[in-house]
Amino acid sequence: MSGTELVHALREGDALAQAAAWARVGRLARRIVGRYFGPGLDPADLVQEVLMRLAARLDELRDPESINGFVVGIALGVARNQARYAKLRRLVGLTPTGDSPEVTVAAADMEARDAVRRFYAILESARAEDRSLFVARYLEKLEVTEIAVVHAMSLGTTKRRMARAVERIGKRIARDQVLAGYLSSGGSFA
Amino acid sequence: MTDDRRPPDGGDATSEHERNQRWLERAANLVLETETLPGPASIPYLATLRERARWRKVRRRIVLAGIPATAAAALGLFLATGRPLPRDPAPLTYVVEGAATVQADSIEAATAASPPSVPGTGAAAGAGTRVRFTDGTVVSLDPGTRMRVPARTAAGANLILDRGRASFTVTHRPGAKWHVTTGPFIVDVTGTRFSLAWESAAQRLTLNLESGGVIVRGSAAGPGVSVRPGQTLIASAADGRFTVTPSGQLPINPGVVRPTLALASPSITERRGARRAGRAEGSPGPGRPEESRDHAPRPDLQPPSIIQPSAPSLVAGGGGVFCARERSEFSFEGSEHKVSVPPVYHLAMSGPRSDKTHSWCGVGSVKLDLNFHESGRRNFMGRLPNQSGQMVISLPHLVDFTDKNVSLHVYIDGPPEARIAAQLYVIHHGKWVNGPLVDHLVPKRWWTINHTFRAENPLNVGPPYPPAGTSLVTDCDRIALIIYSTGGPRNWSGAVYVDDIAWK
Repeated sequence: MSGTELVHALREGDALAQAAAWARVGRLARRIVGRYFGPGLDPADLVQEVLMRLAARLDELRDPESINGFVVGIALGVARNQARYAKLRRLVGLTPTGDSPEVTVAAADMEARDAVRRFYAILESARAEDRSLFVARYLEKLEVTEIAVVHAMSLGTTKRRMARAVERIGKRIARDQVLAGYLSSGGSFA
Repeated sequence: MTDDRRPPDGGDATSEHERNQRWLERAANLVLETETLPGPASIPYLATLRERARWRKVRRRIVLAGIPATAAAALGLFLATGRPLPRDPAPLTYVVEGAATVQADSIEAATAASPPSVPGTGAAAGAGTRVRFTDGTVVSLDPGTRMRVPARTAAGANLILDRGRASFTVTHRPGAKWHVTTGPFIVDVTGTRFSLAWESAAQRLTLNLESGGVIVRGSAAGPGVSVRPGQTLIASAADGRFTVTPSGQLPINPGVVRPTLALASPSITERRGARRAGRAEGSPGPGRPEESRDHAPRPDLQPPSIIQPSAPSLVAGGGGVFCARERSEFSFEGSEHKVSVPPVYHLAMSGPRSDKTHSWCGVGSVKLDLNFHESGRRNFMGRLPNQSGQMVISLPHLVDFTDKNVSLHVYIDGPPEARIAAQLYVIHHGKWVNGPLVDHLVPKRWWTINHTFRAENPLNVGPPYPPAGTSLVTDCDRIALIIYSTGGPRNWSGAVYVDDIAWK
């Protein structure tokens, strides 16, 4: 289904076409939110929030073929807001702090599971925007121009903030010597 | 990517920056390789979604209209609380009775081997687990059954049956809207008593309807299969077969109830179901945006009351009616074709040979063994050698693929929970020019992988290498396919069949 067909189905399709279109958009939103927060989180509520915002803002989309980028931008925005609220609630003591939840990953490799858990613990303490830039660049593999669009930043600002995000997250990784060693060795804690 | 992420000064700062980049790239590879692919997102209540979206726009317009400051302040406070105008009626709530493990929106009925983790449930395992909603709807869960309640409204709820069997007594009310999702199927309910069982290993749904009416959508059901009281529906997502019989009777001649209700969109209908019915709309697989689709509405028809004869097997002749107008360059019907697999990096595919058991068009295809596992050393791309497989087809002469849509068809024989991604390449003077990664492929069905190559095609090898410019595709001597294991079990053996490579 092309972007034009998808947007058409979302806007004007009958009930079944809309259901299919929303299901597809929902999967993309769920992937983005899931990658932002890592395994262990049930992103259903956030996905619904993304879809509601998309429904409200669909008329803003000028090029239907860029629907994917549009959804990615909304999903990352919702994720960043949620991360900021969660951090604020932790700071003022409204929710208990604690370790990251147990990570459910596809690999039976215990080292990989531990490395993923450690990495997402670092991401959780990172700035919301740094996390968002990491997801866009390294997990979604977007080009810089696409990253600039989904974050509503200029190209120059995007490059500068990405460089700083790499630096800040790198410093946090360096403080976790176990994870740093794992990543330096290319995938082994040995 | 050509962004300049180097810090202004060189030396240690530069090497530290490069080190940080390497770490992030390796961390990203680790996340991608170990993530479990999300299942289908629950379809939101569209009516509620549209209503809330409409009221969001109304609220925004009111704010922008320039209400006097005091009223604006009061309205701002109202908006900050996030409450819609007018207030939504309160959604249904529920209580869980009996022995169960309750976690967020997930309810798992206890078995004798797994005592409940919810204190105070008190009842012994196997005593029966019931979920009672405030409108009187009751769902009874068999031991070991897991169900989720991800969304509730005043009109009903969206339920997901992950595994096991559940019996539903849905209170009939005007405007009631209940949906039960299990596997790829969605059961729409308005006021009904029925039981539903989902076997994830066999990908089979069994629905016994006692009273009321339901419509089952999803998979090959197309826009919907109606089930009447006293009937049992058995639906297989693996081969798209539906069987409807009087409850209590086993089907003598399992057949297919062809959904003849109006097709709303081929994006909903499994395309093999549409091909079986001989319809021309839709495309043989995903990724063919050029083919036209028929969105014209058709009158609703009742499903036939007699069982139709079985449709052709999906394994052989999966292309169906599309083979009448498809002409392939490589049909693998017996002619010799040079197909090879590499000795390094992508080792999951091996033993290419002719096969007559699976085909897209005609009777033959090329079969390769698949063996995914996680042993071995990671290569410089951070991948284990048996997490991906590659096959290469040598072309008898150089081919110009500029502005050509290159396609091939793939059937993966593996465990139903496995998830695969595939990527098509053409090789121009040794440069591997790729199409997009086609992800979320499932076994036991034919998939179309295709890409239209242009005059300038970006070369994206992937981390740790930066994008490497662009390439022509005017003098290609090979076509390649790489298959990745991306989700589900990571250690499994099976087979992949490739058929009908074409370009036009």
